[in-house]
Amino acid sequence: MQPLGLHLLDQLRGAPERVVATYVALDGSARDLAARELVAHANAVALGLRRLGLAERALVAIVHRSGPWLHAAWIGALWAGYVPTMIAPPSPRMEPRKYAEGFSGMVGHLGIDAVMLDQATRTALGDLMPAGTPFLTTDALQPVAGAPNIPALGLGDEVAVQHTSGTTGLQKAVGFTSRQIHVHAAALLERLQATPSDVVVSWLPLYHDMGFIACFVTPLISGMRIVEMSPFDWVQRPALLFEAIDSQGGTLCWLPNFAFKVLSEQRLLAVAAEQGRTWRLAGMRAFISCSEPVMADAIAQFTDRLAPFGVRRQQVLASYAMAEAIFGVTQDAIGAPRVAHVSRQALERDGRAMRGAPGGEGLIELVSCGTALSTVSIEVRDAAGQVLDDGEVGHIHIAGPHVFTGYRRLAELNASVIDGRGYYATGDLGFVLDGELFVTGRLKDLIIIRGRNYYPQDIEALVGEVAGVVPGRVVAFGIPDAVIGTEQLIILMEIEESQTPGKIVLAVRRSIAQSLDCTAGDVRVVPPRALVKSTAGKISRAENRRRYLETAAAG
Amino acid sequence: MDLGKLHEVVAVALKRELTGIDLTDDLELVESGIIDSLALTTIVAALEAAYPGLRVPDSDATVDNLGSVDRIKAYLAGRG
Repeated sequence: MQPLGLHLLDQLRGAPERVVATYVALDGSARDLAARELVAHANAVALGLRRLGLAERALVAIVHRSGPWLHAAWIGALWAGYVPTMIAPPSPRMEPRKYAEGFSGMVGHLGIDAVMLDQATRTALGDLMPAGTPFLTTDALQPVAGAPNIPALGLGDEVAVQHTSGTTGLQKAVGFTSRQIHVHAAALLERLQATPSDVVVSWLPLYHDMGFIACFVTPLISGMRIVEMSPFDWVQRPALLFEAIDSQGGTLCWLPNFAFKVLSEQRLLAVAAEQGRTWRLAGMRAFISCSEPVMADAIAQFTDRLAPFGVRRQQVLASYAMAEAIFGVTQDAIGAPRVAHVSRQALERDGRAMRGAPGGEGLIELVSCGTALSTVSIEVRDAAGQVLDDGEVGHIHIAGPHVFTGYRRLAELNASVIDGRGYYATGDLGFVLDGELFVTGRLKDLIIIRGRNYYPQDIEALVGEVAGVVPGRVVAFGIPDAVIGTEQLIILMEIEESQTPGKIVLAVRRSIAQSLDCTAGDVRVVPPRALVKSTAGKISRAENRRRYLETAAAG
Repeated sequence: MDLGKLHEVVAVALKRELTGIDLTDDLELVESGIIDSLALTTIVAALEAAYPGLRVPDSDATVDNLGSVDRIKAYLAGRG
């Protein structure tokens, strides 16, 4: 085991002609990047960064679109002895000024020392770059052959920082060492029986742990080829993923639940049929559903409709993962996805999972997230902290060598989420049955939309700033939507009596889109004083959510 | 192609998203946070259902072409 920078250098220089990554464009064309090319790109980044004269171990943000320079930026920062961290670039609909405000806030509260970006992002930000923060435009560099001079670091030095939320306001950052990243990769790869002959195909952004760890860092350090496309291209043409799997011989693919729905939409398949297109997907070892609640219905639709292309139920695995554990906590074994049929009444009324025979009355099908990786211990506890028996629903706590030891710069919060034995209170609810973890809900108010995390307090604060909305009389929460396979953001608000509801609703939608790149499912004006407060006098998300669902169910 | 009914086609397709909002032809649907770009497929499906024989290729399913009623009108008119 070596520090990550050295490990990567040895690995890349050991097989200079090996294709490390293949970049797929919107038109389906593919460009291979050999190890020696990646070394030259990353070397140029390392040299460029050093010229900025940063302090040792400086935190360097990478704000970048997909492509070779994004990969090189991360490796180059490591080789220069800095700590790289991926940040979401502005999406086209975000208002540059609002993005820049959020970004400047992050630079301040995360302690970012320098920024790397691509020319397109640099142009989009114009004169809105955070004042006084040095930056490097990567894709204006020329690759430089030769080996970098890597500062001596230990396995216990922090080399990667990632973030827990899709919003820029209250990003919580977690740092990891070379040793932790190696240990995590070994455990995940062991569970997936992965070898360097595997090919990871991905459209996921790298500012999210699933894209960053599962589809970039882990394949990179273990020698698996990465086949990558831009998230924007995939959104425009979802079938691009299948074309890439087919043409590039893909074997592993991580996806959030909603993507299983998108990839099996009727129209996508109808167009393929019309055009006589077919994809060979039988060679996939696993499509792994992760990063948002796994819905049985989404997997069923995906496997049923894509069966003609060789997709089988055994290929679709699930995983429970989070940035606080680097990534993986649990993972199904290859070829062995599991479900449980349990009594709905016992689960909802007693918080207990009681198995019944498939097809039995009053049963619901829950998808297992698999068993814990060999490196992770899971405890399900009640509210008082007592460890519960198998099948009992409680709070999920995790511990292990690659579980984080605290958020950066948030000591107070850390004491409340990590106990004396190193167990992290995830805020998720679930149960363990025969060793398998089932996640049934969430204690915290976090909203997960298309795999991205949003804190309701960020959204509520933003809505409260819209002219005409009564400050403090706003509530935001998520509700699951099986049709689109993800959560819908619901916003309820009270407005000043002189205001026109339609205009305010539109202003709120626009504000959320432009500041957070997030689309609300329902934005609704409620009568004055209609929002329910808790006994503590704060607007209650849980109670307002319960009432909203009740009203929706009543039609 | 009867572009007169286009406004209605979009209004019906995005009925839920437009709750409480007045759909004007120049309203930017993605930029205004009514839908996200993945939901452009909803508009594509609605157009293809409303205009038999129309097929909108994936490469045309962009915010530039489909991001507002006016944009859709121009796009369809341009296709003849």
